[in-house]
Amino acid sequence: MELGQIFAVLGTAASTTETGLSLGQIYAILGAATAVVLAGLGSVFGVAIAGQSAAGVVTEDPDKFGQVLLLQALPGTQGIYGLLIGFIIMNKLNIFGGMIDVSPETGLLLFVSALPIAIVGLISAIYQGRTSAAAIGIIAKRPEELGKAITFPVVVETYAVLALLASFLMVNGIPV
Amino acid sequence: MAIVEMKKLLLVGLQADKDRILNAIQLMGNVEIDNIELEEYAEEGQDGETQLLERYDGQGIVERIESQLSEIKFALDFIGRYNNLKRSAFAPKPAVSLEELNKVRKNADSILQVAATCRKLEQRLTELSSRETRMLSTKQQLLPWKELNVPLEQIGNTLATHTMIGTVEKGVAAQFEERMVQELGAREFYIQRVGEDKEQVNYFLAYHRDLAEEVDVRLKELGFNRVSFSNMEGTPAEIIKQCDHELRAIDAERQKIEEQARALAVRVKELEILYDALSIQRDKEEEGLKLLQTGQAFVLKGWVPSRYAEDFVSKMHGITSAVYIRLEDPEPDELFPVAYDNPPLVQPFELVTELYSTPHPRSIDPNPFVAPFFFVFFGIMMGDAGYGIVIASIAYLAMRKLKLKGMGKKLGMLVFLGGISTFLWGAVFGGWFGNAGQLLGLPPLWFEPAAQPIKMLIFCFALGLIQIFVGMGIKAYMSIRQGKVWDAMFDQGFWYITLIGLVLMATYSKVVGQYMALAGAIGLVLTQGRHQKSIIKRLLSGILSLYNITGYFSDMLSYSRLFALGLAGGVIGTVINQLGLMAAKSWIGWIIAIVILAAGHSFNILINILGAYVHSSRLQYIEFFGRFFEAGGHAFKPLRIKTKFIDVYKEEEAV
Repeated sequence: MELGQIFAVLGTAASTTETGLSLGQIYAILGAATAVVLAGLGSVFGVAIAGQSAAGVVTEDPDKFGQVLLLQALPGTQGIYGLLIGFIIMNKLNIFGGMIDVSPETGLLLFVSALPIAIVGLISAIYQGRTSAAAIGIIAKRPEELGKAITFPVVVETYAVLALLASFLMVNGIPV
Repeated sequence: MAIVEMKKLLLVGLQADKDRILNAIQLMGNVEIDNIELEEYAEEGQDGETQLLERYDGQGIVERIESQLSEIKFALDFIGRYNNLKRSAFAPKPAVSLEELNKVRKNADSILQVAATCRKLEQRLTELSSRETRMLSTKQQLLPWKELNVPLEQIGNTLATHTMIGTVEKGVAAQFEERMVQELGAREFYIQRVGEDKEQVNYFLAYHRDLAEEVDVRLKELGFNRVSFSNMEGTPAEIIKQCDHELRAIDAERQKIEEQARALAVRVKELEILYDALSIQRDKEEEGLKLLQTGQAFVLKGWVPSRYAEDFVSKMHGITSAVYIRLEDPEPDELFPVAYDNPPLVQPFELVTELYSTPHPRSIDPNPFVAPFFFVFFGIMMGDAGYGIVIASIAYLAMRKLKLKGMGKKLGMLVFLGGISTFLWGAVFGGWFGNAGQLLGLPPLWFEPAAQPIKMLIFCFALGLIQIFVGMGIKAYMSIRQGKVWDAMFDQGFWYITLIGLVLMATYSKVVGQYMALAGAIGLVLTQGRHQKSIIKRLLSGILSLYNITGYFSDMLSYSRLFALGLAGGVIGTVINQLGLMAAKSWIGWIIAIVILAAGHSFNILINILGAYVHSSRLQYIEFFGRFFEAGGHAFKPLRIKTKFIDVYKEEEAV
C-alpha cells in the first residue's frame, strides 16, 4: 500500500481518536515537538562542546570570560529557531485557545515543514559548536582577534538560518 | 572621513631630558614610538660610528616595576578576599590629578609596605592552615584510642614486661578476645578492649617477657595488627585535648589576621592609584626600550599624525631647546600606522572594523560605509521598538554615569545607536515587546513581516544588493585612484551592468533587463581573462568568470538572515507575552505574570543582542569587506596614559 493510502485509511478510520484529538492535530504537534527537540538537542551539544573549551581558557585567564562566553553562546541559536517554528505551528493549531481541527494531510504537511530546521538545526549546532571550540582556541592565544574568531562559527550558522527561513515559509504557506 | 595622514618622526635629545620628553609624549598620547634597528641606523650614513649608539638598557627597571605591580595586584586580591570592595556597576572611576599621582608615586615605598604586610599575613595564614591540618589528622588518628589511659610513649618493652596496642577486625574480635583470655588468661597476660571504630576493635595487651613467643604466634594467627604512634607523648585523651586547644588557638589567630586584612581596606585606594601610577611608568619605560642612546644623547623614531605635528614640535621646544626634530612624509611604499578620523556618529562603528582587521594604510577607511549598514541591520534583526527603548536608555545611563572614555565610550555609543535603530525598525514593523503593540492596537508604520514574509524577504535582498553594490563601488574607486580605470570598468562596471540587468528583468521590464544583462555578460566574457596569455585561455577564463554570479546570488540570499533573526526575536517575545497572559488570571497571577514578562523579555533582549550583533558583523566581514577590503595595516598605538582603576586628568582639564 502506498503511504498516501495508508494515511488516507488512517485518516478516515480515526480522524478523531479516543482522546478527542484528530490525527491531523497529532501530526502537527509531532512536527512542533520535532522542531523544538531536535534543534534544541543540537544546541545542547553545540554549547556543551564550546563550553568545555571555554572553561579551559578561563582556567588560564579568567579575564577572557566575556569573549569566550560570546563564542560559547553562538550554537545556542538553533534551539531558539526550533522553538520558533514549533511555536508558529502551535499557534496555527490555536493550541492556547481551544485547538482547531486540521486534516491529516495538513497535519503531515506541517510536520514535514518542521523538518528543515529540526534536522539542519540539530546537525549545524553540533558542528557550529566544534567550530566555536576551535575559535575559542584563537581567543586563548590572540584575544585581539575576536572579530575573526566569531566569523567562523557564524558562517556555519548561515545554513541553520536558511533552514529556519524555509521552515517558516512552508509553515506560513500551509492554509489551515 | 579617512585614514589619518602620518608624519615620520626622528627626535634626538639629551639623556638628561629623556624622562621629561617621554613624559610629555605620554601625556599628549599621540606619538607611536618605533623600534629602531641598530643596523638600520648605521646605514643612514653613520658608518664606523655604530659603536657609539647602543640599545637602551632599561630591562631591569621594567622588570622591577612589573614585580612591584604583581605585588600590588596580590595585595588587592588579598584584601579583596576579606572585604566587599565591589563598586556599584554604575560608579565611574575616581578621577585623580597628575599631581596627586606623582605624590603617590613618591610615597611608593610606604604603600608597597602594605603589600609586604599582605604577603606576611598570607604566609602566616598558610602556616596556620598547615598546622591545622596536622592537628586535625592527629586528632582523627587518636580518636578511636581515646579510652586507652596509658601514655603512648610508655608502650613498648621493659625488662620484664611487654606492652603493645593494636586492632582486630570487628567480625573476629569476639573470637580473638575469647581465645586469648582462654589460653593465656591464667598466666601473666592482660588484655583490655580500648574502644573501636567502624571496622576495627582496639586492644591493649601486657604480658611477661617469657610469654612473648606464644603471644606472637596467636596474634599472627588471629589477624592482630600492631599499631604504634611515634613522637607522641601522653595518653590519647590528653593529646586530643591538646590538639583541641591548639585548634582553638589557630582559629583565634586566623580571626586576628582576617581582622588585620579587613583593616587594610582603607589602603585600597592608595594601592589602586599606585598600581596605575606604576603601570603608566612601566608603559613609558617599555617604550623607552625602543630608543637608542649614546653617552649623552638619545634617538627616538616614531609616527605622529600630521595634524598634531606642529603642536608636538612646539611642546617639545617648550620643554628644552636642546632637541632636534625631523618630520617627513612616509615613503610611497612605506607602511604607516593606521588611525581613523571620523565624525562622532561614525566613531562607534570603528569597533566593528577593529575587531576584524586593520586596513592597509593606503586603502580606504571602511568605517563611514560600515556605519549606516551596521546601524540598519542591527535594528532590523532586533526589530522591536520596546526593546530599542530599553537598550538605548541603559546605554545612555551607563554613558552618563560611568563617564566612559576611549573604547568604553565607543562601545556605549554603539549600543545606544543600536537601541535607536532597534526602536525605529520596531516601529516600522510593528514590534513592541513581542506582540504587545498589536494587542494594544498599535499598527506597524509599514507592514508586519511575519504576515507578509515574501515582501520582507525582497526588502532584505534589496538592502543586501545595495550593500554589495556599495562594496563594488568602493573597490572601483580604489582602482581608479590607483590609475587603473580599466580595471574598475571591467571588474566592477560590467558586473554592475549584468546585475542591474538581472534585477530589471525580474522586476521592471524583461526586455530591457535581458539586453542589459546580456551586454554585461559579453563584456565580462571578453575582459575577465585579460591576464591570460593565449586567446583560448582568455575566453575560457572569461566564460568561467560568469560562474561568479552564484557568488553574488548567495551573498544576496545571505541577507535573508535580517528577516529570520527579526522573526526569532519577535516570536519569542510573543511567546513570553502569552505565558504572562496565561498566568494573569488573579492578582497573584498578575504578580507572577510581571515576573515572567520581566525575566522573559530581559532574556530575549540579551539573546537577541548577541544574535543581531554577530550577524550584523558577519554581513560586514564576509559579504561587504569581501568585495573591497585590503588588510595589512597595523593600528596606531601611541604611547599614552592607560589606567585600570582611576581616571587621570591634567591640571588644566580640572576646571
